[in-house]
Amino acid sequence: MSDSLLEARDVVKRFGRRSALDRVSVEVHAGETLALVGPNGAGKTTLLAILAGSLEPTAGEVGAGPERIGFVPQRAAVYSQLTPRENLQLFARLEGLDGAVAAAGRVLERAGLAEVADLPCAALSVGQRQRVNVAVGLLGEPHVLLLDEPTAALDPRQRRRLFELVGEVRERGGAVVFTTQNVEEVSLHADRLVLLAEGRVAFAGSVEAFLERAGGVREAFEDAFVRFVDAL
Amino acid sequence: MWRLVAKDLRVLWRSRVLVVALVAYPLVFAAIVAAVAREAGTRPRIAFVDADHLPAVVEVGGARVDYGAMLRDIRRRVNVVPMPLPRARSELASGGVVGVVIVPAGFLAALRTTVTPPAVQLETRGGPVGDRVVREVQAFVYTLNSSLQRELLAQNVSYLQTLVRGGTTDVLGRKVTVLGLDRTAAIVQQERARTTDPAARARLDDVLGFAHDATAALGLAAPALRAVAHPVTLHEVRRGGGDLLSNRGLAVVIAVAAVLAGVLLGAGALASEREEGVIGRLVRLPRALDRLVAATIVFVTLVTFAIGAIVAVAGCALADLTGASAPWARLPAALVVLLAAGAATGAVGAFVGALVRDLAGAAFVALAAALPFLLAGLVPGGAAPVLDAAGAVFPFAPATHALAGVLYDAGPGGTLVRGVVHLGLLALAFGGGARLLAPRLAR
Repeated sequence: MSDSLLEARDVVKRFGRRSALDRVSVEVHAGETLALVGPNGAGKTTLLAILAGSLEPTAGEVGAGPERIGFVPQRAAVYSQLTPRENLQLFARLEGLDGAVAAAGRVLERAGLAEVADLPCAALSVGQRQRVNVAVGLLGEPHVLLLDEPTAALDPRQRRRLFELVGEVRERGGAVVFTTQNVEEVSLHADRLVLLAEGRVAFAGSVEAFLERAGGVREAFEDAFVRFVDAL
Repeated sequence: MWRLVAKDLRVLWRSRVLVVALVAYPLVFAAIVAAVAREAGTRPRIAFVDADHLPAVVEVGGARVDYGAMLRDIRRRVNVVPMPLPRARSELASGGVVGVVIVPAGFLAALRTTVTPPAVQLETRGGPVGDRVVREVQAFVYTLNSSLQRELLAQNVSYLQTLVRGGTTDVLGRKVTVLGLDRTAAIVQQERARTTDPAARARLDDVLGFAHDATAALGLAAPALRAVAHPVTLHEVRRGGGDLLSNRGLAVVIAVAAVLAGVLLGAGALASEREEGVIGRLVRLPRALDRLVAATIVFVTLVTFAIGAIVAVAGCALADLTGASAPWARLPAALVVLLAAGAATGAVGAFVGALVRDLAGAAFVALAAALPFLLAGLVPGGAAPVLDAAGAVFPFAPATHALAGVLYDAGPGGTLVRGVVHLGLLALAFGGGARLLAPRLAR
């Protein structure tokens, strides 16, 4: 393995006879935001779950150093009958973090959830629940934060707040990896992107390199993305 | 694991409607099952075809038998439904009744001849319930015979007494007037006093001696006849009140409430981890699936223990109120069985939850799977070997058997150990199955 924070090499994942990932290699470096993009069914969520350690690859290697990895599943993965504070304390304890109560309190403050900290999650708005979801991923101050379509149900203002929230990981010298269907987010928030198509890496590089190869300009990133995918 | 158990308990406590449903639904279900079981078990429905139009009081040879009262008595144990023969046979074929009792035309006339005993015809479908009907009808015929016998015996005793004292009495419906041994002896005594012929006196002394012996013998005949007619009598003493909660019924109610709630809760608890979307997070933790399955089983064990204990205490209190003997002293042993039953039930629920994965589907499958086993478990042991074998692989039958044993058996130790071991093995088997299936939750 190289000096990357997280690396997947020649990862294969099959569900029965269907191949979801075919020899995919990805590296995540310190201080970067990496976007995993691609059409529906390309294997983005599967790759993220394998990187997070919640899914075993059929073949290949996934390597990480001693770094802590935070994971934010696509759906707000919190107990709806518990409050944000209770959810955070529970997950902090389950992950074996020291000072679970204090850790939960810190993350609640940073996520702007202090006012709703003691309401059941079922009573929160979609945006608030998603912030709780991200807050759980931020527990333990991870070196790498993996987010699966974190902005899918959020309005533009909530999307901006969410990226501000996860930006702290980069500021600490960590890395953020997110999947998205909203390609404008890639141009706004990602340093690099990995484009998956039918379980294979169709492109990996900087946003600028992608635009150059797709023949687009940053202002029309979505057009360039569609052109690129259509040409595959 | 305990953090997950505490979380499950907290979530359950917050879902007040679910808590009420978890306690109320199995209780209502258990009460209905117990009532149906009691009705089905103690009052099988039989058709009664009275082709001879028997009166309420039957007179045979001067004896009066309250046949209507006997019919009312048998109706306490079996549901006797009068109907014509074609309908009775149709219902027997369709299972509407489990037996048909036919009193043929000419039954009473044959009975009155006292020469050829008439027959009551009984048609059944066989099987345990059919056998039960045979026993009930045999008991009815026995009672009828016994009543007739008692009446006829009373007449015979009266006749014997008339033979001694003289006078008029009824014999098989006819008035009979006899001189009687006492008066015969008095007449002979008078004749003996008048005669001076020693040979005649000696002959009259022989007659007097016979009359004396015959009087003494007839005096002994009455109690001897009664003794021969009823060598052994059954003296029934009922102690306590309703039979719903005085025996196996209490065990059934406790087991239904605990098992039904436990299976539904276990299936729902594990499936809800996926429904809430947290399973993807949990599986990243060390030995997450082991902890998750174990937590589900422990959570269900605690809840079903609480539900079962509430039902057991309520059942004992109800038994006290109705005058039945409540097995308060046996409750600690019953609670041990409840712990084992809770673990087995939680394991079954976890197995279903891991197999089906989505919450609604898991709840449906848990209920659908539990119902046949609950009904099979209500069939008395030994009645159907297939049902016995099927019932042994689900916690309800062993839990019911163990609870009934520890609550009511004279020596419950063996039943307790066997029951706990059986339920423990089920917990291990289904818990192992749930663990094997648990990776499906993360897909």
